[in-house]
Amino acid sequence: MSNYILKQFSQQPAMIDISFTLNGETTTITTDPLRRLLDILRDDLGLTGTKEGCGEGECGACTVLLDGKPVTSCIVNAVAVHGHDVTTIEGVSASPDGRLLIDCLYEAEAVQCGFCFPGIVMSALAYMRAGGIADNERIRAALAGNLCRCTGYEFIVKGVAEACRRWRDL
Amino acid sequence: MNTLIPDSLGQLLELLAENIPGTELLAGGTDFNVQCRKGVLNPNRVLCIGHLDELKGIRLDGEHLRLGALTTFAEVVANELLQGHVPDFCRALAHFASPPVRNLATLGGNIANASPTADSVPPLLVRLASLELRSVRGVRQLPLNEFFTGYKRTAMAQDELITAVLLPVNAEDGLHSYWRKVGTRRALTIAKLSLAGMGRIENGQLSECRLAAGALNEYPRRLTAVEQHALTTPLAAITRESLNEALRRDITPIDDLRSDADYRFETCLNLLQTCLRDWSDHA
Amino acid sequence: MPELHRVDARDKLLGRTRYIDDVNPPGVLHAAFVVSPAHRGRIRRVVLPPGFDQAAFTIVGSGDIPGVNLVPEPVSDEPFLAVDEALWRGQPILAVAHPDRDTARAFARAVQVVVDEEEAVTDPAIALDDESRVFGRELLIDHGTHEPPEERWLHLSRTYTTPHQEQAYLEPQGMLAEWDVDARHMRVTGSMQCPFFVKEAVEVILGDEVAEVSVCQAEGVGGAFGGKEDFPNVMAGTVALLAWRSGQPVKLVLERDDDLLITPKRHPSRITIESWTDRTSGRLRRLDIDYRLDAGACQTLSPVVLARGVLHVAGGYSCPAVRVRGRLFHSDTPPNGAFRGFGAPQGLFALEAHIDDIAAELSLDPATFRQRNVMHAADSFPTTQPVAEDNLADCLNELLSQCSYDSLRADIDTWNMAHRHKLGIGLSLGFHGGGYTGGGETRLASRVCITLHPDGAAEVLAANVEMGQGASTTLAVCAAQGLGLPLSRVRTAVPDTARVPNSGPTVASRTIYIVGNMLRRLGANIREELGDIDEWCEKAGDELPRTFEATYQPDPAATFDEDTYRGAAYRHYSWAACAAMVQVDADTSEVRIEKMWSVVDAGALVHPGIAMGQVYGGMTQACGWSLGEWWHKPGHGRLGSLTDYALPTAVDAPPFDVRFLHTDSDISKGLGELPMDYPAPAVRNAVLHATGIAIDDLPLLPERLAARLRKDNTSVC
Repeated sequence: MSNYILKQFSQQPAMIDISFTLNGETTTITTDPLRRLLDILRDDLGLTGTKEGCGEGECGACTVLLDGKPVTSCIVNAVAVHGHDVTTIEGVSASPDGRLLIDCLYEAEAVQCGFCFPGIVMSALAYMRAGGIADNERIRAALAGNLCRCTGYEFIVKGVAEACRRWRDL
Repeated sequence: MNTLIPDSLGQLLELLAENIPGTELLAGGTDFNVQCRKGVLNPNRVLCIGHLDELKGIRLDGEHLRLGALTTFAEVVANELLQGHVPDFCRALAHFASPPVRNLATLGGNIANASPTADSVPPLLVRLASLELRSVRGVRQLPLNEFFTGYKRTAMAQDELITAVLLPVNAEDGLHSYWRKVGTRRALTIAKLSLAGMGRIENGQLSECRLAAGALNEYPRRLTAVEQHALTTPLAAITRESLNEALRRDITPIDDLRSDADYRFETCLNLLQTCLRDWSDHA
Repeated sequence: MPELHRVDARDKLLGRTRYIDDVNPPGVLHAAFVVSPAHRGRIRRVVLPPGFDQAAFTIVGSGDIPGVNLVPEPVSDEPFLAVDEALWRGQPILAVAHPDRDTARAFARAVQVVVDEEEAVTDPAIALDDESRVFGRELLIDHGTHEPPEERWLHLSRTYTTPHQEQAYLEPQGMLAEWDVDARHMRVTGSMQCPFFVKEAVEVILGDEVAEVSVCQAEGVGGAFGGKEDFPNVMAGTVALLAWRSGQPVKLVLERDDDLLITPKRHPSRITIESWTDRTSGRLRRLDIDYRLDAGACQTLSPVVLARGVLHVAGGYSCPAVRVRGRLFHSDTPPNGAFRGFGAPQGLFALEAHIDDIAAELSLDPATFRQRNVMHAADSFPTTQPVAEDNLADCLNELLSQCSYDSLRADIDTWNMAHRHKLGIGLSLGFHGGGYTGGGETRLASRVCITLHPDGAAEVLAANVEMGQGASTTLAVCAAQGLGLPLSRVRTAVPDTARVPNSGPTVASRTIYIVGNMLRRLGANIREELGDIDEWCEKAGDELPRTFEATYQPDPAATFDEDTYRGAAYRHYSWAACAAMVQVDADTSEVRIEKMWSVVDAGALVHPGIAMGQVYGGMTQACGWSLGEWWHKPGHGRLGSLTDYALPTAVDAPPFDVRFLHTDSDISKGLGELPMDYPAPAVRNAVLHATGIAIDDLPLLPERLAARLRKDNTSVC
């Protein structure tokens, strides 16, 4: 657990300093503790790869990894990020498994409009990193929080399965 | 609106003791953020608690499994201690919402919300869970089935919070279990109804029977009339009609956007029958 | 040749593609709509909220419009911003803009709109049952024999209904306008299907205040499915008005709940089919169809949906006497609009359900009945247009062998005798006419260009947007095939009305079928004119870049009389057959689609992977429409979020087995809409097989099925 340094007892809507690791780099911002992580990423830090599709944790387009686990960043507040590790779509290609996943989804012709994909990729990457295997049902369960309206999921599942297979063979 | 970030449980309890109306606790944020966005929730003071270590962790504590209030659904599903003692409980929570939401949503939040559809509550009720409530005035344990008092109302005082959920360590030992949630789709769904059960069959009769339903009353609760009927009637003599009669005393389903009263009642009855049949098939 | 992958995929996978929400020019103001809280009524007053610095907002209403306050549509009867009357709940009344997005939204939400509420009809079932609500032109197709039906024929009459369907593109509607006051040039960028429609809308709303309007597709368009066909006109008109008024760039991105509330949906339908079938031969003899659509509060493009609807509702069957009457009905809901299929899914649901109902009455297997009646060459459509090919029958026969229909059905019947949860298999056929209906393509007179650049690259210039369907890849492939160049040498320009010719809107399954085929021919013509393109480019020097243009050439033989609905409504049809296997839960009456098979003829495939993705996606939308997607529940209002509007998730969508037939054809036909058209009735028919219950109303909610099981006193237990 992080060393929690926040103490805010002022009676004003406080701005607080939030420090976290973002795609491998330490990042510090001053912000409202309730500000949505999604807004911090997109509006404050200019990382627009993460998308807003519904704003209520339903569609999964805003999925990022918080300490390696997928979370919908539209319902994560700044205060929950302090001292933690955040990975967004912009950080995926820094890792070999991330690059492999991107390649497999590319080759599977998985993408259509692309709006849900930054979220899909994060959920799929978390699945791979949790030792996920090339099993269609398990992959579908891992992606159940990421709505896609274009593809019917078939090629997404195929791409993720292929990535799992190739990652294990490495 | 005032947002406060206490740095210990003690500080949090002091803030709660100020008894300021409109105070909300922010833990996983999965419901808080959605309700605020919709304008349903307009807190004038928010206490952030998601970082408090005192509210975290799953451990064996005497006769109980102690789940800190901030335990997420994902942690329940993956926890080895829980998988060892209450595997069916872990499985029941595996279908809550979606993977990203399971990583955020906390058990304490799901319970404190007191929603009729709270997915964790029916499985906890039939496992005789209790809650550890804390305030500056002290700590008390309250059986979960005494916690809810009405639609979105609880027996928790304004200065209290849930610090842990306590599950009997033998909650599933030697018992059959049942869990079924019916929603609009197979994931990412809010229950139209849900049914949880724990039971034991001896000599063709239920010697233990605990049943609880979600989304069929103003809060999730035990089906006491059905339980009583089932415990006092040989399995072979329990009929659809007799269950129907008992169930009418237990639930008051409504028509709403998600489903209809008739469907909810009849489906609950069907699930009860299936639950008892499954248990007796495996007795 | 190495396998070709989508040209836009890698940037999208890496989150680098910029959608309109990702674009924020300096000084941009964020906009929000103030909408009607009432379904219908006179707007009494609008009260701006206290507690805001009102000087910081730009606020516009209908009175601020310098041009015409009517959105250009086939029937232009919808105002950009409401005038005195609120016509539906969610109708834009004002638009506000502020430098801070959340402030703009909070302000808009806090504006109090007082409406003298009048009685309103929002339930499609009520609207579609009230003939006094008919508006717009009635359509009639009636060219068959008029012999009276024979007594011995089976006579069946049933009514089928379908609900609203929300497009639910994952990217909400978004639009940006930038005003160059000196040049009086309005620059619009956004999420849209039809840049030239948007251009016209901005010209209409700003009138003489604007000298030039140019419209560009945002780099990424996050799904559309018809939902970004006409509503972007309202979005663009509004942001342009705000930009003109404020002098600053203005962007409007709808929040999801607003998008659900405000924008057009698929038309609810109520279709009555009266049929006569010869019991001896098992052949359809006569169909009399009453096709009704709930258009919502305005007609807008509903007449065009109605046209496609009546032209598809008789299905892919041979029948000597077909009479179809089509009408629009008014309700106090958002004007319904385009959604993949465009009137065809409603018609095919009714017709394909009815086919199974007839088969059941005749005690014929639904596959046998379809084989006896499916269209062949020499048959004709209800419009008298001759059917050109046997391809639909080919699809059906291939499908039946693909899913081992006979043995599977027998296995299911055996399984069902021993199990509480019941399995079922259902069939459906579908077809879709490519391109605009009737003389539409002739009137559009689409133009496309290919530019050869000094670096040896060829650039496709067309107005058809990449909205996920793969246009940026497939149009380049078409041009590359014509030019004889590798795909790596051909790119598709981002549609910008300042740069590209008007090749028409990105609708009606016309992008490959009309525009792609034009590009292929243009490429071939360029190659013929220039000889070896590489050699020519080397010598061309200052002649480069050089642009070549082509205009759509209508087929003079294909005529369609839009008064009598006689003739060739479409030049080419795409065909499909489908099977769905379902399981019905004995306790909950939930329907789970276990598997879907489909055989599709869309002619030559420009890109097999993209084509397959279109079919999977369209079929999944049909699965959602058949099982869980609906928007209005009588007595309980509308579903206002993606929590309750239940799109299929990855665990809901079934596995698919899809095959294409006749891919060696010399033409590429329309494909975008077809896979949405036909799967829903296959699911309904599978439930009929599983339970014996024929549900005539979509969606197949477990509540509906359970109620019928109670009423019919048949237990699936």
